[in-house]
Amino acid sequence: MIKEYNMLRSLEGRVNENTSSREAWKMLTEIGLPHKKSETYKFTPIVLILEKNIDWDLNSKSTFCDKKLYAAKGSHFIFINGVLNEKLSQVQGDISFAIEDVKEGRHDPLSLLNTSLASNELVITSGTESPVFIYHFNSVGISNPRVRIKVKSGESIQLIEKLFETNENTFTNSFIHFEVAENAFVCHSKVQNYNSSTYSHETVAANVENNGRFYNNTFSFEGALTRNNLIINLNGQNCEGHMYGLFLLDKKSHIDNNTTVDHIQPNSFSNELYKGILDEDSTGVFNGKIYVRQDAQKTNAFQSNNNILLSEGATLHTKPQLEIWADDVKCSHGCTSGQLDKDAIFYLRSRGIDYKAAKAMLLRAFAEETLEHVKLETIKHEVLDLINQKLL
Amino acid sequence: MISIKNVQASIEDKEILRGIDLEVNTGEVHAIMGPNGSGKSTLASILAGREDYEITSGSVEYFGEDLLKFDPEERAQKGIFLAFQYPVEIPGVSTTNFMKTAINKIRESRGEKALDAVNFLNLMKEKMKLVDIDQSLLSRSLNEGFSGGEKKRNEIFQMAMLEPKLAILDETDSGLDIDALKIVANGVNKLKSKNNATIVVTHYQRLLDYIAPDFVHVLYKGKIVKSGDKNLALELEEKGYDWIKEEVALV
Ligand SMILES: Nc1ncnc2c1ncn2[C@@H]1O[C@H](COP(=O)(O)OP(=O)(O)O)[C@@H](O)[C@H]1O
Ligand SMILES: [Mg+2]
Repeated sequence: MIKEYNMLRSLEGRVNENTSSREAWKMLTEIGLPHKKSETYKFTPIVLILEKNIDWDLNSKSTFCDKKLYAAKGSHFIFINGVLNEKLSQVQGDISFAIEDVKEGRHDPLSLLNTSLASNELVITSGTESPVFIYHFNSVGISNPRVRIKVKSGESIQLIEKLFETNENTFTNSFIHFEVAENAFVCHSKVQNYNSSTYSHETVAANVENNGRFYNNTFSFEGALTRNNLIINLNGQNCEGHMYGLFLLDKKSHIDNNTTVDHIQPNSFSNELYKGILDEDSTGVFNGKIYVRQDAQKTNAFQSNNNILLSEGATLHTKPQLEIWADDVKCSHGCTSGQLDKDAIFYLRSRGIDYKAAKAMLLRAFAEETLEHVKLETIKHEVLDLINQKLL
Repeated sequence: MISIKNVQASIEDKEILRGIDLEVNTGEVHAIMGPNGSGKSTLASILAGREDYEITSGSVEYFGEDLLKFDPEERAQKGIFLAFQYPVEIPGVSTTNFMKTAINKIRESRGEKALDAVNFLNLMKEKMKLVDIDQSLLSRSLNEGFSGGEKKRNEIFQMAMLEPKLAILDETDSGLDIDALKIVANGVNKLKSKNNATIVVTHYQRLLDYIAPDFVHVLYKGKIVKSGDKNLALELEEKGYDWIKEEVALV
């Protein structure tokens, strides 16, 4: 029985033949899509928004444009409408990849939707060469890219993801999964500067084994609706999960960052810093969950979310969520939200710096802290340029 | 240089300044003294352009122009400098960067070219020596985690960098030990010329041992109730403010 939403009915015909997809679809129809009262989508009624704005049958030729690719050494994988285009992609060094059948994934509704509709899965296995870039050029009603990254023991990978929706009112439901083996290291970054008719739901999940480290940097600027689900499972001992994010929004942009870090074994560490700057009629949501399981003694987990609201029309919802079953842990969290510091502005102006420049100076300093863990200069510059563009 | 006439100001309907008259010419040093809460900082802030106060009457003329119509940055560009009683901490912005931006904004307003990196560094070095301030302090976030003395010294460093025509020092001496006080005073004296002027707001006479004022004014309850030369400061040091309060009460 398909519940409540037309969305599922519209998409039923596209479910993949393979067993995992069919099972995922079955499960999805049982649990249903997130509805109005879903706690995890409380401030982002995604299905309502999609049903209002997306024409599932929209079809048009994708406008791939190689000028949009980063001019950087590394492997470049190109997805068109959710499907890997091998011809356009370029693999460098000893990175290997394969296209496999979709396997069972996570069981939240949007992940199930991806498992149901993704035509296959790109599996990338780490080598010694990095970075790896993945681009999505989407122009149809719904695209379902699916990627698995295997980082072998002791190896490391820098992964940069970039989405371009080249048509109006399109929806991307992406799913990327990292397997971070013992002593492996991952740095995953994305810059989300979409437009006022771009809708996306982006799931990033990582399983981290002993001594593994996983970093995620997410920089969000414009988008009609951007929902980021970031899930880090710290399965091993002495592993680390890092989550850094900036959202700098104006117009009617809506961003929802939903992060989860799960400490399962003893001695692991997680650190999270998200900063938001909201202008005009934008909306920002931050929900950070930290789980510390009973066995996860000596966990260190830190979280903070700081926000500046620049206009009366801007809305912010921020919620830390800590669930701790172990007793010997160090956890802290804090969130702040406020306006620009008037005294600081006056101080800068009293030295000859005009209001606009003073405001930009303060906001830039506020935002830049989230860039500390980005190692790739190309990305750092791109984000700094975007910050400057938005602030000046 | 600056002519303040009957300035009255209030905040949230609370009257703070009740008619200030003050005339400062180039080459002069004026000291403004007075008990806590008299309105000294309010007067200093109003001259620098803080917008929290409502100026209910009076006028301020600065080099023949109506000062009150200018934004804070325009006043700074025209040579007004306020050394804050409580300098603001600004995380993520270094003093160096801040000064580079400030100097170039001021130069831009005067139609001058931006200072290049070499000239800026040379200027920094020269002025650092003047107030005996360390490079490492200037690379850190502006005032963040600075001691009281470091903040004040940083204010004077900024003043040295910007070379104002009218410098207003608001309690720059508070929180300074005697050595730091000497350094700060020495800096101020070196920057003094016949083309600029200084208003020193202070609570105590001790700064005036090092920066000799031409005029001393006592501000009390929002009014200048007494003016004199530097002997007035000595008298206040000796007798405190009570006799002034009594005199005012009698009137
Ligand atoms: N922002 C403000 N809001 C309310 N009252 C203020 C504000 N600033 C100053 N005042 C009041 O104005 C009076 C004068 O303050 P101030 O100018 O700081 O005095 P001083 O510097 O001489 O100690 C005090 O009574 C103070 O409480
Ligand atoms: Mg004061």
